[in-house]
Amino acid sequence: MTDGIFDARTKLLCFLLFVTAVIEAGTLLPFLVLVVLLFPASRSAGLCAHDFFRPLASLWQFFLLVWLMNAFFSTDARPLWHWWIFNLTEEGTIQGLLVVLRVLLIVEAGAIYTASSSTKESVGAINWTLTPLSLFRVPVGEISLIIGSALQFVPMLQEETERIKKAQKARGAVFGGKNLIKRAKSMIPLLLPVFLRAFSHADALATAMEARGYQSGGRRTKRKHPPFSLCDKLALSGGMILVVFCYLA
Amino acid sequence: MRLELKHGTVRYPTTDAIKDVSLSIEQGSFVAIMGATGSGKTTLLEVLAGLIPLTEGSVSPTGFSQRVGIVMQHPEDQLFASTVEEDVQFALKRQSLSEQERERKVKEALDLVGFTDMHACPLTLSGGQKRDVAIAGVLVFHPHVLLLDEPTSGLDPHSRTSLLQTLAGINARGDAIVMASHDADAVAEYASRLLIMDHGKILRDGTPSSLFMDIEGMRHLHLGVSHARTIASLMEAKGVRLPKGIVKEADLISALEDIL
Repeated sequence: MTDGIFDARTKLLCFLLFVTAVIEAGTLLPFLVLVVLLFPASRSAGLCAHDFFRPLASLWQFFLLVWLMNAFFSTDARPLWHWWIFNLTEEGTIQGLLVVLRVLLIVEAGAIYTASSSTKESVGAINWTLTPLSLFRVPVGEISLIIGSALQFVPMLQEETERIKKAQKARGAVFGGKNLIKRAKSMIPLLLPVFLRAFSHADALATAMEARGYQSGGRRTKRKHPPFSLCDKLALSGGMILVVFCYLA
Repeated sequence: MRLELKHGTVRYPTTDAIKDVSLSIEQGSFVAIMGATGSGKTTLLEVLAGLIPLTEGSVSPTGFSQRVGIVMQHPEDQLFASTVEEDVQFALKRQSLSEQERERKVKEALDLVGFTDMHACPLTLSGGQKRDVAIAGVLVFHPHVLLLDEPTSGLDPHSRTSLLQTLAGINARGDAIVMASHDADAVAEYASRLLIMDHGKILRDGTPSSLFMDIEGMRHLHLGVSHARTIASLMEAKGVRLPKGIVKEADLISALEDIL
């Protein structure tokens, strides 16, 4: 999935095929295959071990909650343990593990996709993928533009947040803490200026686009995509085989 | 109070923002830092304020302390409260002060920047007024060293002069000012010491009147000198004899009055 070997469209389609395969997988073998496939993909996308395991580390409370909800609230008639409304079952435990594994695999695949594709590439690929929908009068150009603008705002917002955080820290602000309400309150001096800056940037961007003649629904030229290479075709074929394998296994 | 940085280096994955910088800021001094974009001025100020850690070296005092205040670039972006009073007193929240004491400090800080309407909404003020309020939000805890990153950028001439006079007033009461700026006229007029930065290092350290003499050297570093220095140098090139070291507008006017 390294930038340069595969076309951006191939990377996006492979990501979508992987997600489909994850949804179709229901037994241990396909899950094992999907997990094993992630390692070479993350390596070729340039993700280090720290980046690879970051979603697991940062979302572990969410994963635990998902597993507990599945494990203790199953309606299976043969519970392993029962108390009040809690019903620990074998079926729920396995179901919980599968849900967690599915979410984790999709999150990891998303991380690999974003690490291997630039914003510009992604927008071009999304536009190309959605093009058939224009036959049904879906505003594909507008949707791609909205996604592209939103993606371009992410690094800008990160930078703004960091800058304003430093400025408020310089005034003695302390972010975080153990008390949830205090923690939420401490974020106001950060969130309010960041939102104001985001709206101001969005307004400036809209004005700049209109000043350059942008009109909603207007016909615009498109980047011509080169034909798929042999590598792209092989990757897409592999993706489709994976979906069929996960469905059948 | 003395602010001291010894062999400070801040290393990022691809570059060193500052490299082996040593510097001391004496109480009551007015120091300007000039340098092209990306030369390390902002990082140096953030290190001195204790906002970012050093990769190597040491800074004293260590960590964030309200004895050192920093006004970041475009400080008006940090305003968030519904009234000027509330925003300015944000920095005092962690201090155990009486209501009267708090009000007195807020009023004092706003007086320093020449702003009177404590109940105005900060978000509806003009750009210059917003900056004044944001600066008051740092002055309210009375720092002994005030660091400012490009304080005059984007201000109209009146707001710029007013802000610089405020800084001169703060400096006159004995507090040190360290200002990163591209505004060579402001540097010539107010600073007693000038540091020139390039690629994360302090290349030159002297007075504005000595460093602005080397117009070519400054141009080579993508920097300008004061308008007074440029005019004086053009006149000297045409054979007009002027006193040495003219960098301030007032000095140039006085020299011209003597000639005419």
